[in-house]
Amino acid sequence: MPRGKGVNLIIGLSIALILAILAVTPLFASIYYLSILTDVLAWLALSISWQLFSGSTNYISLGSAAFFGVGWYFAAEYLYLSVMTNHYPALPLPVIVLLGGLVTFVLALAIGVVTLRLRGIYFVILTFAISQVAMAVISAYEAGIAHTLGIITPIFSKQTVFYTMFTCAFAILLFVVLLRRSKFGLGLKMIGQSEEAAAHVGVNTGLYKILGFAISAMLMGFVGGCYAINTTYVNATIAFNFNYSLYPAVMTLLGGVGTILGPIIGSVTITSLSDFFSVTLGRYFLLILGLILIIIVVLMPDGIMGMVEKAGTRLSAWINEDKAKAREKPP
Amino acid sequence: MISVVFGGAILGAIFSLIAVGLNLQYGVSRILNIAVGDFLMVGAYVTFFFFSTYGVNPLVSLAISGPIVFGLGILLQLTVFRRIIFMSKSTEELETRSLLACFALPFIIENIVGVIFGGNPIGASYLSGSVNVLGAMLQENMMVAAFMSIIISLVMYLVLRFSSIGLAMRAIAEEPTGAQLVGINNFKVHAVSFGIGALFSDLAGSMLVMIYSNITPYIGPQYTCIALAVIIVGGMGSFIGSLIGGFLIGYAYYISLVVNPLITLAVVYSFIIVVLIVRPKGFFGR
Repeated sequence: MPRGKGVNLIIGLSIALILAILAVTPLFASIYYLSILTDVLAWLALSISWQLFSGSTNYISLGSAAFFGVGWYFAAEYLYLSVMTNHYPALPLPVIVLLGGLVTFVLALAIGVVTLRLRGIYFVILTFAISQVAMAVISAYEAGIAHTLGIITPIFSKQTVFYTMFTCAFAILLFVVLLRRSKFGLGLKMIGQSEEAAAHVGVNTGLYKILGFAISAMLMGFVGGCYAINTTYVNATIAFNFNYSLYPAVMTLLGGVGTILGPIIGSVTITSLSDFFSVTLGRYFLLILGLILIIIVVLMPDGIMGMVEKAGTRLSAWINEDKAKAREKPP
Repeated sequence: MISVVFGGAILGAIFSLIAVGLNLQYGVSRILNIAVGDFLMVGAYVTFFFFSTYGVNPLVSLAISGPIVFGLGILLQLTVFRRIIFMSKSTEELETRSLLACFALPFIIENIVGVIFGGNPIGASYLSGSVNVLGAMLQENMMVAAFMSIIISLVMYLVLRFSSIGLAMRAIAEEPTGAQLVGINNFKVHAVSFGIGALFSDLAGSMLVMIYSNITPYIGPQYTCIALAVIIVGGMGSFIGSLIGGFLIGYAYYISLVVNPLITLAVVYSFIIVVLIVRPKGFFGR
């Protein structure tokens, strides 16, 4: 859909407005709402990172938890070793997060080389199994060999945590928006539509897939690193929880795959609903979440954005029809 | 040593039963039912319910819980998966889409059971005496469960091989379009095979609840992962593969349980990863 200058101006202004509001929130919001907002931003960043690879290439990865968890664990371990025990020199937080992302990137490159030869459900199962093995191995190592029970990290103020996550989420959002418009982003999208056709027109599909997978994983590693300061304790079952694999996929599917707004809408909806209702509704909330997922898959495969788009085309068709009728009628 | 031989075989027989059901669902309708462990859990709870309130013998209540879960499977196939089959343009799309739907099922099933029965561990201990077999002490209920699992799997093999519905299932698994052309009602066969898959995991659950007393609404994923490992090792869509794979994973599971209970799941997942990387079709896959 071609967009006029006015529309672009409105979009730009509203983004600036949202940014400005979020930037000043910590000045007046209570700790409770601040931590919910931090959660929303973390899930948003995770969903966008998931969408970058799995959304555009249609290779559904359920291994996000592995990369999120590695980022989280790396940052937590480094913070513990530098701040709590002085084994390592203290580094500024952004450097730790960047290092964690780099580690995730290398790990994902290695995983990508082996896994991306598979497609469809084989890829889904393999990524799922890898994230589970990561959790099981680290748990077994901690309990059986290292004899530790997770990692304790220093306490950060909720304001610091919020600003860290805020910066991280918007940096990722900006990066993904730019990447989607690049040759690389278009290549990934083309692989999703038809891998054979993409290969025929000269897209190096193997390289693109592995790089896309690794970049998406690196972004998840950043989110994990930033999330490390949100809690004061972490163990493998927490950091590598299957939820971190499943939710980004569910959120993106709910919002709409293949759009930039989709993951944002999906993650904001599900996270805010779960933060407000999971305490009061308990088990019923998860039940409802399951039903929502089934409904998305069965009834609205294109998510909320797909429905909005459909409604939009219907509306414009209807308006055009009216105009055509008006033109036909002599005044 | 003898106890490892028997222990692994007993676990293997039960794992095979679950995997045969899962494999039937996947082979016929291309739906990888990742909620198979939760059907098992439902079976365990139904058996527990009749055992604790009416004192029904767990082996007799197979006749009650079986039809219930069979119906549940058919209901799911008719409401959810039938639409997904209609909607999907390619097999690959169908597989991914139905897999995502199956990831939602545990949320629903686990929490419904959790709301009704609460989260405390349950068990319907039955035939818990031990017998001495060649120097290994084996629990009677484990032997009964293994024996029945093998019998049921064999019956399923005979059904697939010699009955007309079995022929229809094999035809659809091999050539979906061709099967429709020769007059096979594929929706009926999909529904029946999905129901049978659910039924088998239910039977396994009913037998596990006699053996273990630590069944909670959340044990499903553990058995799902085992069943998944079995069919991946054996080959998706291969009946013999899931029988042999079941025993392989059964032994691996039992041995790792003896060595260190912490590593069992890691071992099972490693099987999935290694086989998918080395030979994605599995050892008996087509």
